[in-house]
Amino acid sequence: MSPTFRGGIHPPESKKVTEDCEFSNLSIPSKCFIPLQQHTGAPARPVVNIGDIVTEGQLIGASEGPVSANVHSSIPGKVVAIDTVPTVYHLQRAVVIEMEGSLSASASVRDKEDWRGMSREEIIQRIRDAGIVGLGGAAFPTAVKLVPPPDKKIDTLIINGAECEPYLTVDDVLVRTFPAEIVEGIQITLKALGIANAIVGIEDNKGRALRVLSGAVKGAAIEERIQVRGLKTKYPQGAEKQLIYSLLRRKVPSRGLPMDVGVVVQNVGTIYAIREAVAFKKPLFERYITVSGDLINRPGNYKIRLGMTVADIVEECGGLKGEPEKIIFGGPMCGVTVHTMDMPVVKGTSGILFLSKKQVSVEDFGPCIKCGRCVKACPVNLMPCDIASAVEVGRLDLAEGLSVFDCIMCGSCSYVCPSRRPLSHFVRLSQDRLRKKKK
Amino acid sequence: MLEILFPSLSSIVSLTAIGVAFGLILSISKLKLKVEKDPRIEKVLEALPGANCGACGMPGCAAYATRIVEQKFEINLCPVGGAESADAIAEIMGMEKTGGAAVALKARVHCQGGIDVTRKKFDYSGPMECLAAHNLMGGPKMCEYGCLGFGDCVRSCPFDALHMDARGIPVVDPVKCTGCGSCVRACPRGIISLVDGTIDVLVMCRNREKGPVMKKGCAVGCIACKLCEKACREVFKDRPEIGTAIEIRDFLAEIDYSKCINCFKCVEVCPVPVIHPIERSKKMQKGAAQAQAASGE
Ligand code: SF4
Ligand code: SF4
Ligand code: SF4
Ligand code: SF4
Repeated sequence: MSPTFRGGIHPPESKKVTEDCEFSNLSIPSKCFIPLQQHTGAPARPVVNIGDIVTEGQLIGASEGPVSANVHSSIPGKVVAIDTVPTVYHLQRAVVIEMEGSLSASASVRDKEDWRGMSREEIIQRIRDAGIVGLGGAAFPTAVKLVPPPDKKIDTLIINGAECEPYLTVDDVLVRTFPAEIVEGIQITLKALGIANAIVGIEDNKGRALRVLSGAVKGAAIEERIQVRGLKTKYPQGAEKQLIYSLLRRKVPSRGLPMDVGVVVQNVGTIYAIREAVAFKKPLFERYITVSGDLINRPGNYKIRLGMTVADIVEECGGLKGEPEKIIFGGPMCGVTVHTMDMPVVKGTSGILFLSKKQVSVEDFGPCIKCGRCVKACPVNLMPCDIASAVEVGRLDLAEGLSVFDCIMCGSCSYVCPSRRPLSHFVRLSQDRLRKKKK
Repeated sequence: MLEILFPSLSSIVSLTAIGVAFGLILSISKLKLKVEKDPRIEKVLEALPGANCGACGMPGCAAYATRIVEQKFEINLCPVGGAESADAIAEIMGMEKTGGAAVALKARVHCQGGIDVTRKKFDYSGPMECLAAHNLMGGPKMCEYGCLGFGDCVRSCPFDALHMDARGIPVVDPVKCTGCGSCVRACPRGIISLVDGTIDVLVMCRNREKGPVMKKGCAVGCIACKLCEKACREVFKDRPEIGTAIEIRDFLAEIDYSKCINCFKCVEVCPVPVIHPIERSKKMQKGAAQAQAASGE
């Protein structure tokens, strides 16, 4: 049996809609809203002014502080405003660019450089310059992840291709379309880390991706040790700590990071972007996303420019079949529901779902009936029911003893609760309250 | 006979004996092992209002009383007891009477965006608490600065001085409010602040976005037109060292209460109006006059 972890849930996969859709390019939008913060950490500092003419891939926001990332223009044109726009990370400053002039050479045309001759520092600097962040959703600056503090010894790179979220198929298609590129990307990342051991984890419902990638690894005849392993199909298999446990049986300590057990985890999309950044010096200004849900006319996997708005994407994908009840950035379990069609796609957006009323349940929640399903579902062995009840009645002291900070916000508990209790939200609330109290 | 009345005389006798023995041990040890506690702590505690609100910065009244007696701490930190408490404590401690804290502060709410004048961003069905809602995409209201209306502040008030009105905005009862600041700490939006109780003027908005962005979510926010600032500069035109008491910073009018003289000039000119008391604004008065004229006809 494929390796896995304790707990978790099996939501309907809903991947059939888009799993056979090859990548296609969406036409380039005439106006882009590029937020200065598309990553975890400090927002970038704008380095262009209103009226400036920028080229495709030009730096428009410089990273500020140790944890931050560069932001680049995704279309050539004129900066018409630096304004506050709604983004998935609250209201935020964004550079608004109106298309002008012609598209310059995009990365594929540029000559490939030999990365084998580069030093580790050079590779990491290129990744930093290109503004690469984790493309799985958390959007943590990749260059920071690749330089762990000296006291942490890294021995394994794990490539996250689990894609456990329902609907999303972008990583699956990416692996099938560019297996050789992914393998090269892994080699580059291994070189950046100075190690030679990598494991790719892919859920076993994506058999084709598993076969294609294993074939590519064998065919490449390389000196690094790259394993491709199937994982049990279960949510949240792609959560870092669960993935590490499934593949290596190592337990990341409470409130610790993967590097505490000698592991760095990168998403397959990030690996692809790393290769483009290092070998082609291409900044991160476009990405692949899944557009799906029961309301979009042409669901599929598309290459889009960052900063394109939902409204533009809908138009490109043939419009909607009806009024959506929910539009979600990312997957339905961990994604963020957005409230306006003016929302721009950012680096961490792995998909956009348009769901009808049928697919969404908004119900009032009731009291806990002590069925224990949430406890069984929680992949980190918490007792969401007790935490929620404690917070609900204001007994923060009780919640404090229930390891609330170990929660990975997977939402499994909320998903299974027959009383429709917003359990993960309560756990989050307990964290916020405790943090506030400490201050 | 005796046996019928006291079927277990021996147990009664032995239990009594044990009780007396323990009682003796306890009373002797109480005398021998007595902990000297300053009797003034008890008295100071009595002089404090006993609200345990934490406004003094201590975990409760008892902790404050202990600190006053043992460490000669400042005696006028309790806004609830005010001058009365401070003077009583001064007497107990044999200190000079200094009166209470300089000014009586009252909690004031810097938002008037009730459900009738604001737009919703999304339907919210999570825990009914402001903090929970605030941390979900900035809350269910379009305005990411305004009151969320779930009443964290109301629940935090130990004096029952805050109540939700029909619009979903908390209203402070100035008589009951002691200025303890519990609500200020409870509000995740930072909408409540403590303001000198003798001053009435108050900007009821905290939105720091440009007018058009703010307008997308709220009909009664500050549009940063600067009319108030101009009016205020007019008031202080002979006193350049003051300049103005109300100033627009980051698209929001803010009052410097150390300068404000409660003249209501800014209130009058505000076109929204968003400066309390809005009844005194020209716009509202014109509206009221028109209504009166209409009803008079
Ligand atoms: S408590 Fe946290 S980790 Fe556990 S199931 Fe709920 S959201 Fe997931
Ligand atoms: S799943 Fe819901 S009802 Fe069941 S124990 Fe957990 S909180 Fe209670
Ligand atoms: S003032 Fe603050 S705490 Fe009170 S209801 Fe409004 S948002 Fe909540
Ligand atoms: S007059 Fe009113 S709307 Fe204009 S800046 Fe002053 S408070 Fe804001």
